[in-house]
Amino acid sequence: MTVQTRPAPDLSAALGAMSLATRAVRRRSLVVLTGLLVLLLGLVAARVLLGDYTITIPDFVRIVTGADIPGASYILLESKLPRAVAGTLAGLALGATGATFQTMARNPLASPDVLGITLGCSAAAVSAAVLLDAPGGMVSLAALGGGAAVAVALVVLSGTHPGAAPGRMILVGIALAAMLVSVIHWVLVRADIYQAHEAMVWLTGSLNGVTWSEIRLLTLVVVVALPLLLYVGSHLQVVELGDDLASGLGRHPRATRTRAIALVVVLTAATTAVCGPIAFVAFLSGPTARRLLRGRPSLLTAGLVGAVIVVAADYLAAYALPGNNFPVGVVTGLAGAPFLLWLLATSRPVKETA
Amino acid sequence: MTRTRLPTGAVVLLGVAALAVAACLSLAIGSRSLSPGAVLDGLTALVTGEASGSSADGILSARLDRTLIGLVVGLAVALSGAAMQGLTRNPLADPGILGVNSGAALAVVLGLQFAGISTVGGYLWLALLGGLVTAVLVYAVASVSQGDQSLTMVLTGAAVTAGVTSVIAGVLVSNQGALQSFRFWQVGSVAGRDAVIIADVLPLLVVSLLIVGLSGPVLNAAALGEDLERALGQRVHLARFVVAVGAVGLAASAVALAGPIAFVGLVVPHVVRLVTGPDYRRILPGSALVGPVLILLTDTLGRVVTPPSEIQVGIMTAVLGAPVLILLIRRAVLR
Repeated sequence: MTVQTRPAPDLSAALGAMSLATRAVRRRSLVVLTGLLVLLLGLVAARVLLGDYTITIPDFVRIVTGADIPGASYILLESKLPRAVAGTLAGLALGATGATFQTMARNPLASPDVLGITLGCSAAAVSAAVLLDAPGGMVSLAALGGGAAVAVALVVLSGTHPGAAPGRMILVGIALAAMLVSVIHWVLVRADIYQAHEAMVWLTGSLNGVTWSEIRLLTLVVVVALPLLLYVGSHLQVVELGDDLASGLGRHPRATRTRAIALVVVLTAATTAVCGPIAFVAFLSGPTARRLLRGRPSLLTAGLVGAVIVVAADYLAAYALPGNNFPVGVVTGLAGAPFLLWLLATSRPVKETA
Repeated sequence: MTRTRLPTGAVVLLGVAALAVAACLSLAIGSRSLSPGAVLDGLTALVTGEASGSSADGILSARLDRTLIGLVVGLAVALSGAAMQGLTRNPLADPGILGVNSGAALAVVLGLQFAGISTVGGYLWLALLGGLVTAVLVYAVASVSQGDQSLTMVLTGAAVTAGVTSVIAGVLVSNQGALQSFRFWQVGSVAGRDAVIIADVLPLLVVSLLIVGLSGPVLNAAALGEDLERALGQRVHLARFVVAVGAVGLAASAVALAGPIAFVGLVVPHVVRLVTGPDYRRILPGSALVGPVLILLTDTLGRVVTPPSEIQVGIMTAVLGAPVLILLIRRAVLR
């Protein structure tokens, strides 16, 4: 009698299909990353060279290598270049932080700006600057403290973590945001009109008055914290599968989340301290990146999307209406709100894990 | 299960007494406090028109103005919140949270910037228009969406507020004059205003008060859900639309008088509900009593917490109201 054996599954064929699929995904993300980089470079070039005062490429090279061209040097080095550089850095940080929270919560609405962390940074920073007349360094520290306080309050008050009950956490964030907004309004009333105007420009999210020393701070934070966030983020995708599975796969969901939240707070605080709360960039970048990658989350891609958004929005804010030099936050706010409404209108019932 | 309740008469009496106490405190306490006797003398002097010419008279007359405005604003905001909670069947509804106040604020700023409108009478209709547009938008998004209704509504309100904030910021950073008046308006304050401005909002206020005040049966029916409501023979959409316009009208009146005041419309109906139970025919009059008490007490508190300066009532209610909202969020079965 012969024993009927089942044919062994064709392992090599399955592996081949898988590696093909993996290669397709890799190719797609490579194409997207390259495309975004090229787009970003183009936008930065436009931001630096074009606009109401055109600087030719040879002039740009000469100024950057130390030549002094009356007029052009000043405009390039004190306005155009710092705005482009700060916009790129801020966009990278905001995009990556937004996508981190969105991945963690499995909910596009749970970005640090919707949750009120950004507002925590701004309320603390504006209070320190106006009420205590604190110098720049102290203002940055205040922003860090405010953001951290809101992050802790979010976790404690909603009695959950961003992975479990995003709806409740978002609502708690909105409650905290309403309180923080009124604190900011109060500070604005206490200030004299010039301080209030300056604070108002900053609170809108603005690259107008960015200085090189602020950019140095932001560069330092982004260069250190962003790679760390990307690294922690690669673990987040496992954590996203659920706490039990993640623990089984040797990841510590709690520690991973805590690290991710801490890095997000640091990046958000640094960005907010320098550029103010630029509305909706953190919220917009993640879903956009995800769509470009056909559903796969990627923090780096989201960061590049954020940079593209900020630099492009700043170009529009500065030059779209001649004679008006709006803060960049006006443009991102105007673009972001309808997108959020559309996302809400088309949202499906959320499946929650307990 | 029956709940032992205090007799209705006693509860109403208690509410009226609380209101009277709150009004007296609001008249007496401030950077310079007046004794109850001085308040009484001053009031009789004002009524009989025989001013004694003392400095207490000036203080009392200013406090009388802000107390009257506080009364009206508290009444309007609390009733508006109660009606919105009933209509939307959402325990988190409130003119601030649903974005109605922001819509009103945007209309006011645009009117100030482009049409030079700066009277309370002008603010009022702009606020009503802005509030109505926002209410329709929020309702539309929430009814199209298939997600959690309460959450969607609150988020839509937040989205509208964020977008509006950007537009307002765009106006204010390029117009320092507008910033100067707007920053004092946006905190929400009942101080420094002449009670005469109440007359400017009176027509809209009275009509809206009548609509919302009589809306108890409509709100009770709404609580049953749309299907049952229709089966009971209510003309669902028309009745609800009228009540919604009334609720926005009340919110707009309050915004025109005092600027946006957060959380009072949210908190008051919940407090009242603890005593009255879920019947809106009781919740509405209860809110009408408790709203002014809350505004007057927080306004009085705001005068004494950071002497010699004051904290405006809108700031006080936001700081005190946010914890209540968080409590409600945790209690509601929201994930």
